[in-house]
Amino acid sequence: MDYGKQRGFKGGIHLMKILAKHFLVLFLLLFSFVPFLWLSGNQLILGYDVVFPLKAPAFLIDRMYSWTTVGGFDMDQSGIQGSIIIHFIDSIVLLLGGDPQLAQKLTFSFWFFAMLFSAFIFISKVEKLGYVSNKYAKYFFPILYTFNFYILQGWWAAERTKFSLVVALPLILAIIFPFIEGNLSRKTIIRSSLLTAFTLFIFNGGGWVGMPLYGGLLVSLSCFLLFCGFTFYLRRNYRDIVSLIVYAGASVLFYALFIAYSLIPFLLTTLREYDSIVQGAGGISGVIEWTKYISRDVSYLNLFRFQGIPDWYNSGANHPYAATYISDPVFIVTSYLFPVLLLITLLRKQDRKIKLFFLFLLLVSLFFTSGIHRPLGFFFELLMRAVPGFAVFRSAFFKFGYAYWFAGGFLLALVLGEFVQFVVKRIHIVSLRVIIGILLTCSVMTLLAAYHFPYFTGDIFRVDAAPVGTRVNLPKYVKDFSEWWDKNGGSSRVLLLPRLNEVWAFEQYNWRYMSTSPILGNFSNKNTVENVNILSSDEKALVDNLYIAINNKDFSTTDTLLQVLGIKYLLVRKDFYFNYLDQETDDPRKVEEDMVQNSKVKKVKDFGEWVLYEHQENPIIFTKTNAIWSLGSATIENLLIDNNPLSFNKQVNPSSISDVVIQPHCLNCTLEKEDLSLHIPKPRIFIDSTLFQLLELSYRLSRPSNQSIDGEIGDLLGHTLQMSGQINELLIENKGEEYIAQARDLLVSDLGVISKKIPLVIAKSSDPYRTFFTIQQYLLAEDRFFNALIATRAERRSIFVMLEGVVQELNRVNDQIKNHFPDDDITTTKRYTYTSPDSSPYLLKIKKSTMGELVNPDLSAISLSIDNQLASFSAKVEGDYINFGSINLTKGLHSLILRGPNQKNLLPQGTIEQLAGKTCKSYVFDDFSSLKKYSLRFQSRNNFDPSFYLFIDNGNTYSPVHKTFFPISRDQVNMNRIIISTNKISLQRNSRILRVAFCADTLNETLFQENISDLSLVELTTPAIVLSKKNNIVSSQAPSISFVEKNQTQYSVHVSNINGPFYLVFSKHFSSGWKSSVGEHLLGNKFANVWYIDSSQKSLDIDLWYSPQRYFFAGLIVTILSLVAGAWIYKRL
Amino acid sequence: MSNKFFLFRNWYNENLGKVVLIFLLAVVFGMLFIYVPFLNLIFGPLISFFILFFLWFVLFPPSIRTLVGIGIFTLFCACALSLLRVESLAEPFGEILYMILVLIGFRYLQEYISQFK
Repeated sequence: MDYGKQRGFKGGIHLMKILAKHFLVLFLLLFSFVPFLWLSGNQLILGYDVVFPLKAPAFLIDRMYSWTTVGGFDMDQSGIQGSIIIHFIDSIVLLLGGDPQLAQKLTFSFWFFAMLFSAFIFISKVEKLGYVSNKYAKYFFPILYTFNFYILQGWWAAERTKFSLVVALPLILAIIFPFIEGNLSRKTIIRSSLLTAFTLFIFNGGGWVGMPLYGGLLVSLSCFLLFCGFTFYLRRNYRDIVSLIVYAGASVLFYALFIAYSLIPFLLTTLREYDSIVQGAGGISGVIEWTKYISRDVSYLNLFRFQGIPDWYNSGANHPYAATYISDPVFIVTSYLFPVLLLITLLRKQDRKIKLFFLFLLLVSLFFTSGIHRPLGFFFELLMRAVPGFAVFRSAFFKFGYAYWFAGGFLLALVLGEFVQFVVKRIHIVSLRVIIGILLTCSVMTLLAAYHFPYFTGDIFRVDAAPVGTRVNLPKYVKDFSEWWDKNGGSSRVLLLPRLNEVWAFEQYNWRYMSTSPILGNFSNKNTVENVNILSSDEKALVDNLYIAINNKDFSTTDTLLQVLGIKYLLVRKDFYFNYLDQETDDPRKVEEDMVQNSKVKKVKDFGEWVLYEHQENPIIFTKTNAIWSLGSATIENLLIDNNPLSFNKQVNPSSISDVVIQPHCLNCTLEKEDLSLHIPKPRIFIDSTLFQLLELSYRLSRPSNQSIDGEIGDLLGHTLQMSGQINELLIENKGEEYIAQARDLLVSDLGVISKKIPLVIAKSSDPYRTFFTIQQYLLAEDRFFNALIATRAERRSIFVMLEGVVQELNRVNDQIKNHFPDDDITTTKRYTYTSPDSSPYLLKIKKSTMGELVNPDLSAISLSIDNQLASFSAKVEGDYINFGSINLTKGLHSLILRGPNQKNLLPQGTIEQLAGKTCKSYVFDDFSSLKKYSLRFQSRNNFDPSFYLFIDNGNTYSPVHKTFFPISRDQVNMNRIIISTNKISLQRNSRILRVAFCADTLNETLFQENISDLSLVELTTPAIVLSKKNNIVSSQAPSISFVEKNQTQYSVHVSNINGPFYLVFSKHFSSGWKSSVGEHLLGNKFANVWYIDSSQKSLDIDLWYSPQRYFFAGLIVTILSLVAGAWIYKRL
Repeated sequence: MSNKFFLFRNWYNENLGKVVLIFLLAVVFGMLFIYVPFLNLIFGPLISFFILFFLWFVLFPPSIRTLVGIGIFTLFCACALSLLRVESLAEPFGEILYMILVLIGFRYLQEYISQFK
């Protein structure tokens, strides 16, 4: 071969290699377009946690403000303003004129591209530095990093916030990986810090509320810096260790400056609520329980198989693809190939330096990802308990997982690259080597992606077989309403009907959408109100009362509440999935039927399945001259006096108070609704074990020194139950009497301490009635238990004497309680307490509908005692109230006892019928209400059939939601009490039928009468008592008002015709951040901002503004200046 | 065959002290974790296995190849149990694999540190 030919040949080979390289990169790029397989027709990814701006400009503008008017009665959103960048990426296609579906396809493709190429950039950089010796690994790592079950799980709710940090991790490591070479100059450190900060500025995890998502990034960066530091230490290069510290500090500083627009509002507004967020999650114990739940299936083995996704195991067989990977033998064996490859890569001698780092990262991240899972879960739990703030990583798998997949993916890519290199090197024809290299690389990439086949089938947008998911067909009428509302809504509010299921609070439609985030939020539609979870408890109570009033056709309450809440429009959504199993709510058609009977409600527009109605103008800002002062457990009753839509629960300006309303607090009403079922525990460690003393010691040490009396008594009662269990087991096991005596002594000693504490309960307990009731229930349960024990196990006299001693002590304490806690029948005797602010006559009324169905509805059967003195009244019915006339109250704390007739048994005559192959005696109650609670009582025994049981359902088909079996008990009669409510038993909320049935194979009327007696179903009530008086005659002529909404954080109000002091009511969620140019800021109507303004002027111009907004603007300026300065420094260095 | 036997005999004679020590420690730890109150509750059988495994690693430093071999055998056992759908029995093998990886990590670290000496 002459020189020219040889050169041409080499040139051809070189060209082939370049083409091959670009082809492989293009092939990698092809995987970015997977989302184009997911959406067809009108489909969009929406619902659950997916928030996607369907109206980009409005959405982005809303995020520019620290106060959002999207949803509820508005709220602070300082913590999520950082998500503006993620949503800007979402919005680009829409802003360029694309439709939402195209926007989603391209946005999701962008995130695929970003994940693939950030991984590609990292491994290319590492390869360039000589830490990776084969050239094929760089094509496998991006695939493994992007196509895996961890990321796949994230796509179900298109978690772009998580993906942003998945992108940031390899990019930042690519920036700082050269550090490992050492000799770090000041320029390298500063430039790297700036680049790190800028990367996190763009890919920021969606703001500070998404802070836990940084878990994986923090673990990875900490591991790298430790690894680098250790290397420098081995090299005795201490200067570079200092440089690493400077890098970390500078990165944090630059990052803080770059994201000042999000950080400053977060620090000054949101972070103050950290404690309440933890408490909202059930305290640290609740958080730990959640972590345990999430970590249950995240075993080390599952993680080594690159599985362990919690949803796979929680959703059972209904998960769209989990069963294939969990059960199919081929997939099981394939999953084990990954850890085998992991071991093989460690066996190979190439690239051991980088393998050491990634092995270190793999082991550390695996510990964090598995959360509270054995064997090292105890340490994770310790971190949660001991390290302040660590509890934010409660969903450990989701917060740390990407670091594990990053490390594991890298090590796997190395071995796969080595495999391809190994094959290719054995081919001696150069051109063929290139082609085989390409083909083999593409094949392995395709196989890796194909193993994660749900990416391509697209069936990933549901977690179970439920008829809802995140891939939905958005109906046109939703968009139509949204557009209409944008144009015509102004600052008016619209109430969305029907209400959400009160337990789940999901917005659910029959077109598959389900989410706690309202669908209209994606359109950034303002001022929409429904009973979502973001409402405060008082706001929720008001909205719930409004829904109830609409359903009950209580027009007066409806009108008042609409006025109080500033709601002008009502939207009936007929496509609401109201009969969704276990999440039932009101039938929208029935709601509409009831609502239109209100003469003030007029239809505005029919959008199809959504119909809009208008009530009278109820502005969100109005003025009042008079107000109600409400004391006690104030409810809606307070607002109804003279239709006055302004009340305060503290005394404000006395001259403006037209009415004083006291609602006494019922002390024992909730007690009867509680189902305190106690059982004697079986001890794990017996009293004769050497460990028992250790257990006792830990019990004593775990009791806090500053415990409340309720907590102390609760602990002692729990201990008495444990000792009862000890005695029981000791008798069963036939252990020595000395041990039984020891347990008896401990039990009696506990009872003695309880006895000494009883006189202190009244003074020190937060709820004395509850505490006494609880003690009494424990004592009664233990008394029953010991009596049964005496009857069955006290064969020896000495044992009999010991157990009798316990029973006597229990009775003694019980008698002592009766001196403090009257042994009333709490179904007929209700005890109240209230504080009167002054000495004057008050009108006493009781809301009739809250008294339940009485056996004797005659008013003379009702009696009232005030401060233990029987009061005489001439009661008369006025509408829904029983008016007891006027009573003279003296200033101070008082007690009130309401005694009435027994509640009526609501069960009709039962019938014998065949149900589910059994003979049943069934009772059908046809006026069941999901808003009420009931008590089902009966005495039972079973002398005929071991399969004898009770079930409760809604009576349509046989579908029990509660079952109680009665074991054969011969002549022993048991008392049964079951509390029935939709909160306790999964009864359908929109059903009026309740069926109670007793079934057995051989049941007949005679056997039923023999075995079941005293059966009754009664309503459990809390009668609402209202004491009211007229206070001052205040002119109700309020000043005129007009206002302009400059933006969602600024209002300009003009008040005219001022004749004296007045209240300016601003019906938005109360926040101390709201300021007015005049007046004193107050909380009114339990949720609204109110200013008391005493001005001598006839007219006033008032500015209202949300002050934390200034933090955002200040932060934005800092951000802009820092970015400019950062760019300048980067260029100058 | 006889060659291998002599090789083994030589190895045994050379390492007799270590063999006796590991058996002794196995007995001591076994007794501790079975009979001593508190310890038998705190340390489960898996922990005692880990401790013995680590002692073996210290006394008879195995090569990475040996550790990888044990790791693959561990995975084989786990895979068989997964195929039989007894995941709860397979789970401890993941914990053993974790320990093997930690030990491989030690080997890597030794190798890495030796580069700087």
